[in-house]
Amino acid sequence: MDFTDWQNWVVTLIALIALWRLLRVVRPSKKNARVTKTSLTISAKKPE
Amino acid sequence: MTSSSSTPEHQHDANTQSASPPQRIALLGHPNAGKTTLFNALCGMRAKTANFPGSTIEARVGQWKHDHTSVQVIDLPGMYGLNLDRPESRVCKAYLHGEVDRMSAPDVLVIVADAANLGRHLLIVSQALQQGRRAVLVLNRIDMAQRKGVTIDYDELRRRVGCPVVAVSARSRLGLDALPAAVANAQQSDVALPSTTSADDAAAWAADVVAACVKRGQHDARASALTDRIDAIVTHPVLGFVVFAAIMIGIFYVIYTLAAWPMDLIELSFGTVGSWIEGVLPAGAIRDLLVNGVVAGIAGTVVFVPQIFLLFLLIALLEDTGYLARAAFVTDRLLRRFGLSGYSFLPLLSAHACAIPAIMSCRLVPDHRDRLATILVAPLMSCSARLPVYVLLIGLLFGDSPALAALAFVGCYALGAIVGVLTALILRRTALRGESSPMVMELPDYSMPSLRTAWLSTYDRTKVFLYKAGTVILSICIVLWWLGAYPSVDAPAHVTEMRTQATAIETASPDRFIEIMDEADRLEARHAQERSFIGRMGRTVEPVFRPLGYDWQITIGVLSSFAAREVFVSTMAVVMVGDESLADEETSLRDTIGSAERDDGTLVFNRATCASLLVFYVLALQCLPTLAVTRRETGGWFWAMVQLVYLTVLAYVAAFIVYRLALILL
Repeated sequence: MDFTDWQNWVVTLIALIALWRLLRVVRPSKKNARVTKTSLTISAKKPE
Repeated sequence: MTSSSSTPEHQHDANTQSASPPQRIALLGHPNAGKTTLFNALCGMRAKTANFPGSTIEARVGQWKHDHTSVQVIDLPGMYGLNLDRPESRVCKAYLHGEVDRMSAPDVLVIVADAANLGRHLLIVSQALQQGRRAVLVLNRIDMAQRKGVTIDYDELRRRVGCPVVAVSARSRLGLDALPAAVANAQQSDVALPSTTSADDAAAWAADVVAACVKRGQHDARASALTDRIDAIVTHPVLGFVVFAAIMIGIFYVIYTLAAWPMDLIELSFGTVGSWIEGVLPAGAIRDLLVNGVVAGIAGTVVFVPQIFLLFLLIALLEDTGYLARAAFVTDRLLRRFGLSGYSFLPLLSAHACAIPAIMSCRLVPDHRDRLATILVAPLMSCSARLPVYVLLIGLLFGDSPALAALAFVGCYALGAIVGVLTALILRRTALRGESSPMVMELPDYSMPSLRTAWLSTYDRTKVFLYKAGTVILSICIVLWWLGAYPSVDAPAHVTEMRTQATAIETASPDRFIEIMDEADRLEARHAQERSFIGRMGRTVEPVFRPLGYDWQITIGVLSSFAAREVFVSTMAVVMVGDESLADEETSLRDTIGSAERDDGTLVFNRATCASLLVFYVLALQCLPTLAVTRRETGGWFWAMVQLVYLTVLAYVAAFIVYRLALILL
């Protein structure tokens, strides 16, 4: 990788942002995680 | 308007109570009462879909603007009773009592009932009126009631329910003008209503109200007879399946024929945009990222929108006619043999467009075990993202025989569906053992579908798909591009030598010069791909996939398409052609890929490898967004991981068996 080429740094930064967005899909934010713990949770209900 | 003792919109005048103007109203009623049609008539495009906090129960929220005021409208999920042991009933009751976090209870409850079948809707009307909220009773489909010869005495009905009554036809917007005044003057019912705990009392009350308020003419009997005659065919154990199969074949035929030209147009448009960027920007990493990462990523998602949009639109239209309820009834008999129910039919049908909205629509499946089994097998239905992979591999396998190619296509769809229902059967007899609740649903009257309602619902669903899938696929394409582009390496010595030789003969033989330079570009791209991060990963992981007949190049394709399976074709284009733009030119791409060689000189895509890869892609869960949606809908990672591991192992084992058999037979 040519470290002197500023374009390489820009695209690497964009790729890191894209990776971060992907990780957010896999690991949702704490705000959403807290929501799923309310007493009305339907989706997390285990089969009887 | 149906003849009556007085027009219903004037009936609340006599018993108006002063109250603050409502800021928020909620629509409540049976699944087929026409709530969503009313919601769309009031809010139009100004709507968004929201989940009740902590649940997968969905409600649409919109703004109803009239007379310089704006009222928030919440379209609650359809239900048959507020006291039922069903998720939607529990959540709605909690919402009406103001017990749902961050969601204020409505100021006015708009109870929507079908005017043509009022008797069936009175149970939920009586329960809703006893929730301590100001209420309005909206009798929808009044035009249909009129056609059926149903006459309603609104004065008497208003007296019996104790709140304003408005007769409308949400579809044709008839009577909607009276709704603002009725909502503004909504009042809490003060009449004696049957106990919410006694079904007998409620049934007796409903029968009493119907006897006092509803009169049926001869038209009603004739319409019922026609409905019965149609139902005798479409719900028949044998004929019902024939009709169902014919409609499904028709839908898929329409989807694949009608969607072809907008898909071509989209591909062409994105190709033009890519060429334009290449022409405008100087060569460099940013240009490569824009052309091969961003444009290719967006195109990879948008290209499937026509098929998905058409499927959603046709399903919405079919649902509006009343047939889809019959189709669920017919398929219930078949699906029940495999431990599923008719409720699973719609999600599994939608999964043929995309597994993401299909898994989301599993919220319609009331039984938890049925719902879970449907979610787990939905990715086995061949979605449209698999199509490019099927086109490539079947073209390589049977490019010279259209009949065999068509058969292979049908075989792929059938294999996915058969393995899907068998998996559901195994799940329901092991991990999800237990009786599933019987399917209880109201068969709505047949009616002409509303294009407006279908359009709004399709627009909403397509938007959700584009946002959820598009952002993920774009991110994947950018990351993959980076992994394939770095670390950048110098051209190998023999490529430099080829270019020097080409330059020497440029004047004498320009054609040969171009030929050698193209070959040099391809060799350099292949060298760079091999030395890139993803190329090294392919080499490292290759031993895992070698038993299936895959070399390091196919392994790169399989790995890169782990997150989104349609990425496989563009990855193969990059790895083997060195020019992703050729991915759009199926013939040249297919020829190039078909003649690509392994390190030992044999063909990369021999027939056995193609067959193995085809089976792998039919069964494997190569879709990160699907995994994320499964995690969300099942409330955790456990079932998402079960789905991933099961489908990956299943695909691996099946591909291995097919490869070994193909080596012997082909």
